[in-house]
Amino acid sequence: MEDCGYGIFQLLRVGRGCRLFAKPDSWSVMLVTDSPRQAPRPPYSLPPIIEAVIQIVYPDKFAASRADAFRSKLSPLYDSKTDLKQVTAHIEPERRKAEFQDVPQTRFASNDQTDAIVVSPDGLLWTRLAPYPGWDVFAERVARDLKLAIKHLSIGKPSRIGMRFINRIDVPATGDVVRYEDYLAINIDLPPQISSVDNYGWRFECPFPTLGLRAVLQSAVVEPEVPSHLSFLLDIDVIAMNELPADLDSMLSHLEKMRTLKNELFELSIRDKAREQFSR
Amino acid sequence: MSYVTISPAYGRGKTRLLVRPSSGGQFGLRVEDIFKPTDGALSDDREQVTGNTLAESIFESLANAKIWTSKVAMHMDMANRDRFFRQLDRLHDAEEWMEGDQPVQLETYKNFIRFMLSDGRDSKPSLALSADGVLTAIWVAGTDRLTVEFQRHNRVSWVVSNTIGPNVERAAGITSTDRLLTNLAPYEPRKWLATK
Amino acid sequence: MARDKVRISPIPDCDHLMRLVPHKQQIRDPDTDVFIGIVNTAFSLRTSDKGGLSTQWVEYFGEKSLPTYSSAAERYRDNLPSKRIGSLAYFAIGNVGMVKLAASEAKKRIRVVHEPDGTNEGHAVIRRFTDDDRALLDVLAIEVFAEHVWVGDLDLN
Repeated sequence: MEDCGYGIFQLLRVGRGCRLFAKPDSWSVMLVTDSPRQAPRPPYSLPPIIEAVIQIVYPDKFAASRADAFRSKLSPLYDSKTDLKQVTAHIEPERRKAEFQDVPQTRFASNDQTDAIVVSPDGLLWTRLAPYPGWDVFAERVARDLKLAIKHLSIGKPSRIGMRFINRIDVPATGDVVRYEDYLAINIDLPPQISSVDNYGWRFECPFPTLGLRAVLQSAVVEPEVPSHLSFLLDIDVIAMNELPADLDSMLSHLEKMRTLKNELFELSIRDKAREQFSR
Repeated sequence: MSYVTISPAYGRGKTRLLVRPSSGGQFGLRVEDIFKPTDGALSDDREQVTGNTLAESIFESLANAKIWTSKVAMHMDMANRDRFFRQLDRLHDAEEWMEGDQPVQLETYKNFIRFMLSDGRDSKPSLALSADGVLTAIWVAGTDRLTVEFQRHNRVSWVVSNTIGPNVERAAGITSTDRLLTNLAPYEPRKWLATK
Repeated sequence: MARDKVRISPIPDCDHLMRLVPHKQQIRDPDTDVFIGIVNTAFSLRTSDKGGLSTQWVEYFGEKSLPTYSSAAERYRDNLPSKRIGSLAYFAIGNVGMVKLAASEAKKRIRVVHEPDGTNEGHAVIRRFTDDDRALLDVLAIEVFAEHVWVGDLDLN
């Protein structure tokens, strides 16, 4: 006698994906199909995130003295400090003219380089590299640094908040062709005459007006870093530019909202076969 | 000139994009352009201000190695990763630096890590660094030793020394990283590479 | 008693050579960093090697002993541009005759000569030495230069 999910019945026979039961004191039988194996769901034990980024940009540059004060507060919280410059170029080929602009930045990082913050004249950018420790850990560091920033930089409302999660899906290279469509739910619809390609890439933007957010999704084949694997990138960038808050708690709530959208877009973009790679 | 047909997610029709391999980006998208930032997106075009000091050069090399490691960290045991980082830090101690020495070459480090992700996964080598920044891994089993220099372009130089009675039997070779285990097969590599 | 000071002359087979092995060319326990031995690449040619494999002639400074090693190490250190040796460095000591035997078995015809270098009067060079034969370097590291002395055990002024 066994519980088939509908009551205790006598198990007559076990078939492929199903079981045959007989009700006691009855001539009737019941065929019960086994539930399909559920694909793993988040949080994943091996998240495919290779880089998580949060950026907050302000409409005005920070006052130099305040920026120095903020950097001095950040310094003890990280293991290293590096001066960077972001180089932008404006090139006019027809006039054979090029202008370069240097934007000084300071990067603070942990010893293993997985946690970092880059301080620009008008913005803050946090990164977390793999192994991704989970949102709570990442958000806690951002909250810690942001609290210091609000206090020492005397900043108001930002002009833009960005949240970007870059995922890399590594697939064992068995056989001649790996169908990325088996792993990603957003595909390029090729005509049947083109049976396979060596490379692909797609990118699209979509608005979410009720949330006040915009998302940019990108994917492409990338050079694999792991031997005997093929790799696809899935890059999800969520941007907020309207009615942004200034205080810490509201800012963190906004980031939570952006993260929720990012997660939904991620789950919509992948198939169960990819989920199985994140949970080996 | 080739083209890729892309269907938008909502299936409202097909958009034809012209993909020109040598395009300057002006008339179409290249695959490598896909990840270029647009207004409002996050950018990653920072350049490090590298000074000429030894400390800065060492730091940059170490940082590059650790940042690259993050790209394969999800396939790596964290205890191994931490051990590699500790050893790298020790190998780059400025107090022990000799004049003319070079910090670790990133390509040799990548070569080593890729080996450790596959055939070396169950072992714990000691790490050393040549004067020109080539990473060497050494496995010791009693009096027997396996020394492998991980060079650029997926090449390795290996030496085996096995003590058999009063004699030392020695062999050496140069091969590709993925063929290293095959080359070592006659010398019982499991005693070095399967210690966990 | 120190050997007579003769410029660029062969060193007797019974004498010994000292080679500096910096920390990064040592074999150390991956967890504890305890010293285990030296890597064969410690005998690769460095930019600081003077036309051959640079070493110190031990017996130039006296009979083979810890104080003699200290004198040799001090002279070597003082001749470096940086005038310093890392605190985790070792010196590996090997017999000249065994060096020549190992090279001969590897089909290399080397010469081990006394060749003063600047203020380092006890400098010795293994001439006609090339580092392409990794098996030879391995023999030198494991069997020939088998005596290891930590700089912390030397009396360096």
